[in-house]
Order: sequence, then C-alpha cells, then structure tokens
Amino acid sequence: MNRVLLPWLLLPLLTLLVVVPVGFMFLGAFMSGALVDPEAHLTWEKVAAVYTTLPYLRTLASTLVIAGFVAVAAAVSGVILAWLISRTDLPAKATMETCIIAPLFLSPFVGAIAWLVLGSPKAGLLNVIAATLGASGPVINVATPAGIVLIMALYYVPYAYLTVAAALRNMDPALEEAAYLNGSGVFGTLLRVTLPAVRPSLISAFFFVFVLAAGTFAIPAVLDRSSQVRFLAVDVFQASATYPIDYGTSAAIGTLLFWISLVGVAAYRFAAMAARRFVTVTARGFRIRPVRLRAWRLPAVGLIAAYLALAIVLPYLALLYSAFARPGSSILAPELTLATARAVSTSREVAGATWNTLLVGIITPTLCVLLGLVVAYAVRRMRVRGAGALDFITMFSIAVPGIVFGTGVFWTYVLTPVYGTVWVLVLAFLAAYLPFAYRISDTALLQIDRALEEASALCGASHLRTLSRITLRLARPALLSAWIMVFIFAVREISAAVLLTSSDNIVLSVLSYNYLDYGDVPKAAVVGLLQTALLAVGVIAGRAIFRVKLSRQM
Amino acid sequence: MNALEIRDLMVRYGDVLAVDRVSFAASEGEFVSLLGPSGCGKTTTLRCIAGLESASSGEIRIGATTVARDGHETPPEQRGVNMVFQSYAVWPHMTVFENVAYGLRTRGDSKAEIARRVAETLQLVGLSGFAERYGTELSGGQQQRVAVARAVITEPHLLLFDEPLSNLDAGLRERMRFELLALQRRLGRTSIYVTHDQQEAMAMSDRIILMDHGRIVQQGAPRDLYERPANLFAASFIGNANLLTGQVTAAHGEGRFTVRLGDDLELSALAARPGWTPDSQALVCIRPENISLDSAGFAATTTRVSYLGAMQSCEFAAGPLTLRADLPARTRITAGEHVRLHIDPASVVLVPET
Repeated sequence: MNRVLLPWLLLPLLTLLVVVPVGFMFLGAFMSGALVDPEAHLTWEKVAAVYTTLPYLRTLASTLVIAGFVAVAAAVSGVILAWLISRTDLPAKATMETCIIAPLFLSPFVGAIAWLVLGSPKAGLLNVIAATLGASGPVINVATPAGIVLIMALYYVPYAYLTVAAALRNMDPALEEAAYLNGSGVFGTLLRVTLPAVRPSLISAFFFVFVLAAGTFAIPAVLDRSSQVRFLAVDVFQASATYPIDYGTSAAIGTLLFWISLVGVAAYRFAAMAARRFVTVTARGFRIRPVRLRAWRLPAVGLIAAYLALAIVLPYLALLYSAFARPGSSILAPELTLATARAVSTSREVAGATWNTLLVGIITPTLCVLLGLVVAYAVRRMRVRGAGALDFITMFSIAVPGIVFGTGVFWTYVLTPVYGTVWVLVLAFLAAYLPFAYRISDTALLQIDRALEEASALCGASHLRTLSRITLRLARPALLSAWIMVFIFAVREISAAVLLTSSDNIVLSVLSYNYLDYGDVPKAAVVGLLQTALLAVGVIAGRAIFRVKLSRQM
Repeated sequence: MNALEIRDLMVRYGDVLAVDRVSFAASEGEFVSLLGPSGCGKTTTLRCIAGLESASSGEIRIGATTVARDGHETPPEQRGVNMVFQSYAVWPHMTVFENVAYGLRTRGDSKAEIARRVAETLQLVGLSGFAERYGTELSGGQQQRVAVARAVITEPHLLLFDEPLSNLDAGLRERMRFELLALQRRLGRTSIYVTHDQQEAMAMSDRIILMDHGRIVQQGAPRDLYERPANLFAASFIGNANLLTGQVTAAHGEGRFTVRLGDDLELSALAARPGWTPDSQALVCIRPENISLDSAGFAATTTRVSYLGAMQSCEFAAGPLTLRADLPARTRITAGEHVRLHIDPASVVLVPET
C-alpha cells in the first residue's frame, strides 16, 4: 500500500466512523424533531433550554458531584491497593491482583442489577436479612446518590488501580531507598516520597474515572428505578425513549455530556503527560525491599477480600438467588426452581438476543483490531502523510461517552437501511472502541525492534512477507488481547445499544434492561448471568490461546 | 571492479547533515571498518549501503549494479547484501533453524537443500545441536552466532556489521573478534564493519575509514592511522597519545623536521603532510609506549604511577610539559622520583589541527 494513497483511504473512513456521528448529534440538538419528521426545522430552543434552565443544570450539577465522588473514591482505593500490591509483603500477590482487576472483565450493568437485588430499600436481600436479624428499617439503599457512588466506585476501582500501579512499578526504587537511608520510616517515605512521585498518575486516574463515571448510563438507570437521582446519561436515554419523546433535547443533553468528557479527557492527558516525567525506571534487576505489614497483614488481606465480596461474590450470589430461588422463599435456605431459567431458555427473544450479541461480539473486535492495526501501522511504521490527523481522529472517540455515540449514530443512520440492524450497533461500537485497539496495536508495533523487520528485508523478504512472517507474528499476542478486550466491551455494552435498539438487533444487555423495565427482575438476572457466561467463555478461551502463544514468546 | 563503491554520499535529516560527501570503495574480499565516535555518521552510512536509510544525494554501487543514485533506490531485499545487527535481531518467535533458514525459504530453495545448508552454516558458526532452540533461549554470544549464520547463508555480495560485538562482555568480545575475522577470511566475503571501538577496528580490518561529524577524516591500514594520524581528531581518537604544542625550528627535507617542546626540549619529528615551515606552530603527537627511561635522556620528575599489571602508566613533568608514558611493569619507579627520559625520534609525528 502506498504512503500517499493510504491516508486518503483511512481519513475519510475514520471521519465517517468517528467525527460524523458527533457532528450529526450537534445537528440533532438544533432540530425541532427527528430527521424523519417532515416538519422538523432548525431551532435554538432545545439547546437553550438544556444549557440555561434549572432542571437540566441541576442534573448537570448532580452528575458532576456524583462523578467527582466516584473518582475520588476509586483513586483513593486504587492508590491503597496499588501500594499494598507493589510495596508490601502481602501474601499471594498475583492472586490478590487478579481479584482487584477481575471486575474489569465483568459487566457493571449486570453488577448493578445484582446490587438492585441486594440493596433496594424494601425487597433488597441484605435489608431482608437485616430485618430478620432485628434491624428496623433498611440498612442499605442503593437508590440514593451515596448508593450510586458506591456501586460505581466498586466497578471503576480497577481502572484507577492499574494507572497508579503502573506508576509505582516504573518508579526508581532508589528514590524510596534514599528516603529510608535519610531516616524516614515507612510512613514518612510513603507520605513524603512515594505519594508525591505518583501524584500525577493519581490525578490522571481521577480524571479517567471521572470521565467514565460521568458518562455512565447503566448503573444509575438500574439502581434508581424512579429516577430520583438525576444523571445526564440517563436523561439522554429518557428524552429519546420515554413519553414525550424528544430527540432534539436528547441530543442537546448529549452535547452537554460531550463537553464534560472533552474537558475531562484533556485534563487526563495533561496529567498523564506530567506522570511520564516521573518514569525513571532503567532495566534493573533488583526490587525495593518490601514493607513488612506484620499485624496489618490480616486487615490488608481482609480489605481485598471485602472488595472481591462486594464487587463479585455477593452480586453473583444475589443474581443466582434471584434466578433460581422460588419467590418469597428463605434467603439462607432457598427453595430452588428452574421455572425462570426454563422460560428464558425457551424464549425466542433470548435466542435472538444471544445470537445478536455473539454477532456483534465477534464482528466488532475483528473489524476494530484490523482497523486499529492498519492505522497504527500507517502512523508508526509507514509514517504516512497526515499521520498526526489519523492519530487524532482515531483517539478522538475516547472523549465520547457511549451514550453520546449512541445519540450521534442514531441521528446519522436513522434514514439509512443500516438503522435497526446489528450493523448500526457495530458502527457505534467500532467507533467507540477504536482508540483501545489502536493504542494496543501501536504499543505492540513500538515494542517490535525495527531491526527484526530490517533483518527480514536483508534476507530478501518483500514488504508483505516481512509484515506477515515477522511483524504480525510478533504483534499477535497483543492483537489477541486487544481482540478480547474489545470483545468484552462489545458484549457488555449497553448505553449506545439501548438507544439504537430495535426488534431485529436487540442484544442481551438491552433485553435484560427491558425485563427490568417491566419489573421482571428474575428474568433480567438470568439474562445477566447468560451474558456473564458469554464473557467468561470469551476470556477463558482467549487466555487458553494466549498461554500457548506466550510460552514461546517468553 | 570494486565490490562496493560510494560516491559523494549525503544524508540530511532536516537541517542536520548526518553524512557529508562520503566517498570510498572496498575491493573484493576486503574487510573495511567504519570507525568513529557515536553520531559520526558511520551507522547511517552502513544503513544507506543496506538500503535501510535513504541517501539525500550521491551514488552507491554494489559490484556492477547501481543501487542508489539521484533518489532512485533499490529496496534492501533486492540488493544482495546482508547484515549482522547490533541487537542481533534474532526473531524470538522462530527457532535457530527457522532464523537461519529464513533467507533460503524466502527465495524458495528446496527443503532438502535448506536443511543441508542450514546444518552446514550452523556448524560453521559452532551452533550445531542448537537448531531447535528458540532465539531467546540463547546467550548473547550464541544469538550473535545465529545472526552471523543468518547473514552469511544467503551468500551476500556484501556482509554488513553494525557494532555486532558491543553488547558482549569484554572477554567474549575479544574471542568473537578473531572468530568473526577467521570466518570472513574463510568465506572471502567483502565486509563493511561499523564500530566505535578502535582496538576492534585495528585488530580486524584491512582498512579503517575514520569518520567524524559525517565526514571521512582519514582512511588507510591500521598501522598508517596509528603511526601517521592525519589530524588532531585522528591522533586523539586512536590510541592514547601525548598531544603537545611545539615550535618547528628546522626543516630537513623529506618530511623531517626539528621541533622544540616547552622551554628547551628539541626533538626530531616526521610529518605525513608537507607545509611546515620553521617557526610555525605544530601539534606534536607522541605515543606513550615510545617514551622510555634512558640515562642519556632529558630530566623529568615522576608525578603519577599507575600499576596495570602488564605495564605501568606513568606521568612525568619535564619543565612545563606533562608526558604520559607506558613503561614495562618490571621497572621500579615511584612518584616523586627524578628520572631521565628518551623519546624514540622515529615515532614523533607532526599533526595538523584539522
């Protein structure tokens, strides 16, 4: 492929995929009705209402406050966990770390359903158990701002953990050793050397989680069924899905959310850039002497165990209870029934949704990794003209929350035959997840020593042979992990899917949400479990494939 | 016909001239080193020969074929050259056999032929029995041999080496020097060898091309470079010479002169280039191994003695002059001692500044 021709092919494609939907959303915000409506005309009304009137501004404020608390909670937990894993003599560190990042592989939406089952004020299992133990009134209520913050933080801790842990790993151990030799104790070193050195990464973790949280649809939508707690992403959906349907206002709220994300991502990138200055690692064999936790070992293990219990164990027990226990039976010794499971497994709707989920879950990562790799190769290896623009557009959608993309893709494709098919979901997901596939491919290419490719050329191999025999072979483990990552995203995605749903392209997450909307929690739980099973199969299969390839790599 | 001929090669990165009008040739079977400090343009020159880097202008001919001229470049895979990389670039996802067989497979040799040639080549580099190992399971020295085997098996017109020994530890490095040279002599392939290690270049090369700031400073046999450095840079980069400023007092013809160092030390000296006239300033290069103790010599005071086992490196003050000398280890000498020194007149060379 030609250095000049390739950008002319990629730029329009990426623009169509990423920029056009956002543009159409802005257009939609200035329309009085949907594009199908022949009487729709341009108007300031919706944007003016959303940007200046009280109900929307109140929603904006509550979104910002909730996202801020979530980000603080996740960042603080992240730094504690990261310090425990990377600096102390915590036992079974590998297992502990797996526990901390395991929630990444699960769906926050399914987790939210589980917490609804556990912690709704009246029927919540935890509250029922507490009542039988003699508590008066609910002990936990997830349908409150505090509950929403808690559950969101639970699922966003791994992101903060990974950011801070990377910074701690890359820090020169001599910095801390020097502090010890200068008379600082464990605590003094932590406070005066370690934390200041990882501060930029802590700030970047804060903004990363902030952007994620501000754009979250599933958790507030599920936990607060009566919408007492206002949240922008939920309003985007409700304006376009509940009576009176108002696509214009939905798009206008979407633009508001877009600006928040944009500012958040800008702050994140700034902090991440500052964090890079603190990377002082050289390839040295030794590691800092771990801090002895002594009596604190047990509480530390307990903390991680508690996290695992809250994020995974309790939720899945609740889902299993909800799915297989006869309604009204005792919580601790429930009577089992397969009625719900049977109803779900024979439902044509569920079969269709499973099929659609699989379809989207296989097509999206495949196209996504392919496109990400081509862009990365063009930018990194071929140094094509317009490489900067390609990089910018490809990374752009990291600043666009899923629900905003959903809105944009809706406005873009509503008049085309693609609308209502699984392809419109693929289009939305592809754009949303391209930055991840691109980043991983880019890093993979970056890590392949150019000499490995040059040696192939000097052995007489053509460009194409070098690409297939050397470059792609060496990048394969990274590309596979990118594929699995996007697979997970695509299977569990709900916020864009819920806006683009139709009877033909309904996926498991949306189906589960619909059941929840009809008040059928058991069915929602079964479908949630089904979706989790799908994710697990994907991850486990991927890991098995990895291991085979990696043993040769290492 | 020359195996390699480079004419007026220039490589420009933006405003930086990485390679500046470099011209040289290598005859069939010759071992030529490109020597110089980092950033002198030696690696860029090598990569231009390989086709991994584009020349801004100039011409490169390999045998009878012009591979680069006026922006027209033959891609590396069609140049019939092969290279041993500094990082070895042994493909980690392939076995030793697959690494070495790669070039033959690429050109589509038969399976039997490949098996025979690979076995032969692995034997040549001393890696028989390692064929099924993966590249990353080998030590640095073994990876180096894989890289060499992979490069020689395609029977290239030119063998290129990009600082191949710089990642090995000192002992192994010295052994590999002789092994590589023996291999090159046996195969008779024209070799271009890039290094920043002057000892390596001296030990291995038929001819050294000394580079600095993108230009060729001097080229010639190792002995020429050492004994007749062309300028200050050549004298200081190769060997650890005493470089002193002196005054030419008399010209005797045929490149023989008398110079005065310091207040009253008169020495006879040789000059590779003409152009010195009496009373002109000159840089005088004296190798430390050419200074010895001699009761008939000039007076000096010992200021420092470093015992190095094989010899001792000493420093002397003679009036305003400071001289470094390598003396035999058995000589008993201590700091502060007054001695008399002799400088071998055949080894005193006048060197131009540039």
